[in-house]
Amino acid sequence: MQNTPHYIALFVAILITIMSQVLLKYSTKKYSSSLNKLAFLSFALLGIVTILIVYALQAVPLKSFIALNSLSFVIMPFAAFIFLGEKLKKRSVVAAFLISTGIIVFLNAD
Amino acid sequence: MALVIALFFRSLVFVFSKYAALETTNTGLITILTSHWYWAELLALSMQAVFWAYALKRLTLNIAYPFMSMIYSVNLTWAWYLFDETITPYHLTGCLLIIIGVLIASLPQRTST
Repeated sequence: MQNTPHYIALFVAILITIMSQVLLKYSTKKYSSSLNKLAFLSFALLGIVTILIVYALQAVPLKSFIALNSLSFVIMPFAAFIFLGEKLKKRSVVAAFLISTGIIVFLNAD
Repeated sequence: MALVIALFFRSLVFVFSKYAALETTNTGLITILTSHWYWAELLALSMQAVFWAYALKRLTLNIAYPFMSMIYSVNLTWAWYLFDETITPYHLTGCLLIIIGVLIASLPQRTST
């Protein structure tokens, strides 16, 4: 229970990371230069993530953090589909299922 | 190549983060911001971001992003080697499933001729 804030910080970090990546990809479509205001905003969001990660790792083992961080790969194809209009491939759905299963197996190993 | 370099720096981010976490446990936010490990993490993240942005110009996000999860096998090794965390066959199996999922997502699309 006392580690709950650390796990919450981890999940918030994952969501912000996804937002940052979507924003960065969108910026590459909108601007010809890689250094643009949307890209800087994306990097700023990652700055917040770095603090959340350190806070999360104070209680979460690195191996568990690594597994839980994989949730971003499960969510990302759907976020790209929704926010960037990228095609949601069947293999992305299969991959998301496999990655999710891997996370469950990993966390149940402890 | 840019994606591989981004992957390398990404792996360092987690290692430096854990060192910063160990150094700042039960201390405040300010302590995190003044930890040299935290600044090393930021440097690694900056380098990763530069190469990542370059790679994204050429790849779609639903291909490039799953590729990055390959680093988790590397970071699992760091967790065992640097931080003495126990790694069991179930952990390896879970990691393998994650990597297989990543490979499936990263396979090139077949085009009809």
